[in-house]
Amino acid sequence: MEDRSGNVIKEKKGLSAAWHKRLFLIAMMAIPIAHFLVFFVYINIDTIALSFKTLDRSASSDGSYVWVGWQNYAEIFRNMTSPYSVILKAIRNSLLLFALNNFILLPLGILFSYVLSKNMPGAKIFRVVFYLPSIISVVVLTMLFAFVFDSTNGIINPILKALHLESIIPEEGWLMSQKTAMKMVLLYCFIVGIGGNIPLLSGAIGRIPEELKEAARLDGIGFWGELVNIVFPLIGTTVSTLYMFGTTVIFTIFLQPKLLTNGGPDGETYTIALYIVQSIRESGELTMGAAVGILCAVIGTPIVIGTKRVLEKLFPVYEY
Amino acid sequence: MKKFLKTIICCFLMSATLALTFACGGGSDESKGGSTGLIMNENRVYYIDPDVPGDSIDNKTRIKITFAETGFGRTWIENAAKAFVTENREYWVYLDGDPEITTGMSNKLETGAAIADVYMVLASNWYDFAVKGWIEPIDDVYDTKIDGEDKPSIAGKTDEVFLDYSKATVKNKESLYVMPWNKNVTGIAYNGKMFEQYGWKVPETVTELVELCDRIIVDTKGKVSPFVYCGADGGYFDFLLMNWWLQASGKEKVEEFFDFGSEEVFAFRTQTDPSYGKLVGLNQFNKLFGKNASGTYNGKEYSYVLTGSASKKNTQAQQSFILGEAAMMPNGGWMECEMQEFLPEGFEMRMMRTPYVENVSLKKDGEYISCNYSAQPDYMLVPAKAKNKEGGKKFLAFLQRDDILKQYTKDTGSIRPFVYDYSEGEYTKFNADCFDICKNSDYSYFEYSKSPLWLATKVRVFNTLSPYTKIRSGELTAAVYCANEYNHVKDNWSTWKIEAGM
Repeated sequence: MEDRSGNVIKEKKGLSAAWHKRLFLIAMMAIPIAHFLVFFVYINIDTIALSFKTLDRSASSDGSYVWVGWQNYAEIFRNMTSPYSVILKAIRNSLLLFALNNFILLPLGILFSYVLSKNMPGAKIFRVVFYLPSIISVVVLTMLFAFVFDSTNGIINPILKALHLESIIPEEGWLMSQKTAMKMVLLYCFIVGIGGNIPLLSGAIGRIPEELKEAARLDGIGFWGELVNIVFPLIGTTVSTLYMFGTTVIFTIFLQPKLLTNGGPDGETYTIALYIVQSIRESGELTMGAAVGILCAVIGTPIVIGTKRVLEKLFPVYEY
Repeated sequence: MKKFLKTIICCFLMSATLALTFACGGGSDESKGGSTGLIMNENRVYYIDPDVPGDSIDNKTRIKITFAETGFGRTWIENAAKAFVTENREYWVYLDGDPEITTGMSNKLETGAAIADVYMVLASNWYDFAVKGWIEPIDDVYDTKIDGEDKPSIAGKTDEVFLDYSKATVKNKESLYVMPWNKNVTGIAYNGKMFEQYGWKVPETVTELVELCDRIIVDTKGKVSPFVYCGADGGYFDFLLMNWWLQASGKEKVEEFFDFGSEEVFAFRTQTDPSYGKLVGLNQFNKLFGKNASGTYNGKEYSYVLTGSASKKNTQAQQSFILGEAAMMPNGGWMECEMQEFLPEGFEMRMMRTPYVENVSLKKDGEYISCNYSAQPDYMLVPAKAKNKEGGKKFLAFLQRDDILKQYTKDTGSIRPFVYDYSEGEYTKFNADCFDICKNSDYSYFEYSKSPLWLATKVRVFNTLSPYTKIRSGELTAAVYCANEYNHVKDNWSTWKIEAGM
């Protein structure tokens, strides 16, 4: 190639712009893909494989896991029918926590967020107060909660005694009585969880155009009417997201019962996730934990996907 | 004005920097006076030889020790590390106290990330770690002959039961994998001053203990409960039950039970059945902690157990005990050391042997068989992936030297399962009680098993949930519990055997 005066111009060697772009994209995608391959694909395949194995503990063992087919799954189903297994209690409790999250805490969160959006006096303080338990360590909160109901240091028992209600104080204490243990776990989750949704819901309510509400008010809509007919449909996508999160607790919540009651008394406060954790951490049964995990995924995935589909139909996205 | 403000801010920043500098240096003690000699700086313990020019921590090899920093504190390990580096100046020791290491150790052993050279952890299943090849065999440590001691090796001075516990067979080769940490004493802790004040005698038998409980209620007008326990943490009733089981069935029968040779080890009806002692123990439990275990004062019923005990964690129950809400608490020899900082002025903690059960096995001389259930031991190990295995093993061997063992007992008030004389030194009455229980027992025992059924957690001591809750609530009697368990085990035995690879 020559310039106007006839000098030869050498073409610049190197990567073309297209290659630069490709390299850039590869570099940007490499880490997330590697992350996905290691922490999703590999771990899930390994977990599935592990659920069909058990550790060879024989004298000649080299520490490897050996193939046992469906044995772990058979054991889970056998345990389910055993009167001494905690699995059924774990399923019951996980469903109770799901109901608490989605049918009590979520509606209350919507109501409180709506009330707080009305610029009532001290709204900002209340917002912080409601959210505070969500940012304090669960270890600290469970300890405080246990102390409040303790027979030596707690304030609940003296109050009840002062009110001549000592007959309702359980002999075993609140956290380890078969009658009250799970109720206490639910109460703890209620107290601590009530503010957890408020920041997201308040944000969603804050984005609703003021004109819409004003127009509705001119049409004579009241407090509840505005909540039900204006606010609720417009924050529907946020509500459905929170509902999805609330559904996943069926398979994920374990720390609260673990720290409050350690699953006792007699497995009354076990959850599905706590069962998996205890299986793995205390008895070292990785393979059993893997089998329960896979079973949860098999049951849970259609539930989550189905719920998502239903919610998408119930709460269409509104542009405003 | 601006200049003045700047001066003020500068002064403030300077003083804050100085304060921080001094605060950060506060951790070192011996290093302050000079840079030679024994130095304990934060978690680092080392010896700088004043006669060696240029000697510094950089010239030494590190031994990292991660230990469960719980009831026994850290003084004992600091003292041991100081003695070690003084004699082995080529090493320095890094002490990493971690109360949660027992549950977090498997990840560290498997990955080798930030791994220590020695782990000292609480009672847990180490057998699987050995099978997986994560622990270094330490036969060479056990074979070490300690200079100046008459025992042929460390193995020769180790309590036999603990030595057997430390063995595992991997790839058809039997080796020793762990070093036992402590030899516990279990029984019933009691408030010595309170016993003295009211003239209560330490009971010898369960019947006497029941009488004492009634008397405690009457003498204190129902204000003090005979017992408090930590139901939220669990395990503490086992101390009593295992002692009763051992007394009623004898060591051989209990060992037969833990071999899990057949489902018949859960048989309980006759005295020759291995689980007979379990039934006896649960019956004693019912007398003291059952629904009807109560005394009367002024026409009012008072339970032997402090209300809310079932919901108390260890620290809460121990707090109730030292506050005088209860006179006794099932516990172990570590309790006083654990509560040292919280003991009120003048509080005297004592320990009694688990009272004997009447009308069961007696010795030839007509005396009761006395045993000490020492609970599963905490243990020490060297990881297979440790960077300084040689140093770790050297430190482990050093810990078993007589003088270091004695220092351990002085620092913790607890003994280790090795032959050594710990009688010298000043000990509290509580420690002395524990030593007496240990010395005057016909044998010590703790449960462990090499059976695949046990290792794969197919069978446990209790297989139909915990008996304590059901018996306390009156839902089940001890006999019904044992019968249910026997039937459950019989129904599942063959399946469990297959699942355990037998």
